[in-house]
Amino acid sequence: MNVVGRVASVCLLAWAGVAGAHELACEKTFNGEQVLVVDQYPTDVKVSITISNTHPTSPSTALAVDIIGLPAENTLFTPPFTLGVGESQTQTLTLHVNSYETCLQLAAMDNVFDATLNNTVKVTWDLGSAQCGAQLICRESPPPPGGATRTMGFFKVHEQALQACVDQGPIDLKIATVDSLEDALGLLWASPNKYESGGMRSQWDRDALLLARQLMVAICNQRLFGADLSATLLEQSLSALETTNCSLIMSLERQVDDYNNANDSVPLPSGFDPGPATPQHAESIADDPTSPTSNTCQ
Amino acid sequence: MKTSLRIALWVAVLSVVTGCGGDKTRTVKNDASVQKFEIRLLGEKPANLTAALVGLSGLDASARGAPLEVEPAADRVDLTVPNQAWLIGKVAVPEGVTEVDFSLRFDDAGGYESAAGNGALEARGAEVRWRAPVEWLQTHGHVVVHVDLSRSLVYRGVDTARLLPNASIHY
Repeated sequence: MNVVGRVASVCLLAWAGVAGAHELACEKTFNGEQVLVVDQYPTDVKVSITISNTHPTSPSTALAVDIIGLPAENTLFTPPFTLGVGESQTQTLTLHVNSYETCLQLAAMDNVFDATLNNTVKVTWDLGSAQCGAQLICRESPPPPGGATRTMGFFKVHEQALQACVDQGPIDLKIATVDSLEDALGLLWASPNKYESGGMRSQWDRDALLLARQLMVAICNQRLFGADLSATLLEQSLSALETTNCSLIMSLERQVDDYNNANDSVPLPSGFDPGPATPQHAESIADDPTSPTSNTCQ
Repeated sequence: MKTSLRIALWVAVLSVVTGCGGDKTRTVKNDASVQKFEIRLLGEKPANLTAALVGLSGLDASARGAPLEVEPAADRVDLTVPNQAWLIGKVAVPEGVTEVDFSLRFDDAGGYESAAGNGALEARGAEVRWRAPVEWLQTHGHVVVHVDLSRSLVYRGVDTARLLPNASIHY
């Protein structure tokens, strides 16, 4: 195409976008689910991606389809392609998951080395794009030994459970000592980027907050459910919060987060009542106990 | 008339009608060499949700791998507030940049409330990424990330949902 043609295409594209407002949507699933937990091995997982034209009156053209997480999906679609009103295109592939280790290798394809594959599809049309995603969660079979754990999200909305944890005594997290429900909620609801006053957190203050809140959740899991928290991981984490080694702090944050997620599906001890989930109230009484430091990451 | 000449005439006509190729005066500009564009976040299709409280842990922009300056704004929002496109940041785009890569990351957890019950909103790893031609950003001086709540919350158990952003990007 010559220069005039290319210019015409760009302008026609822009004009069509404004006038036609074409629009596409996508749907991504593993075995038909947006979230699939794999805990039996070996197994096959059917991956499905559907791209649909959602514009009520006009055809829409997918100019690009980008995949994050599973490189094998990149060849499923060959853009550009046009979908008429009400039309869609579905492509599938099958993953052979032989073992927990194979599953973890898949999970690492999103460049986050945890037990979850966040698999994202992006489809681009003229003057817009859409994103859809699905998660594949790898679980050991049988689950690792130890009591139940719950995630930060659980404690963020279950005030009664968090109160029961705080009632067992103050929690020294080095950057703050938590001795009330408001403090504990304040740590969990705190913005990683800003203080309540509006000031921005430094990189160290941010990283330390991320580790401290996961550590508090881990301590609550140990206190309330008897979860088996490694003394080494606890000591290393507390020690790290007294250093300026942010790489170490974030590495430990991931490990403690993994611990808090590991036995999330194990039932709570009989007789333990976590109370109702009250996110809006919990957020309203949260009082961030942290304050700015002069620490800088080394 | 040669095809290329016909196309050129069409381009000229469209330029007059649409302003294509002309100055985009709605773009926010601080100076001649940097344009600022708003980044907004909108929840839609809440169904019976009455609250979807999410935090934002990161909003980055880059051009060809080089980070661009982002001025942060709101980072704790309720996505069920009707017609509220939250201003979450402004990106400064230097002259000469033609495409911007955005990454919007959600904090690990939030909460939801609905007529059917309340619970934790697990958002570990939730992220929206997109590439925006500067020409598209110039259309209205902003980009709006629409999160379809009806397709983005996957309920797991009685009081937990996972946030998997099913989003569309509009300019």
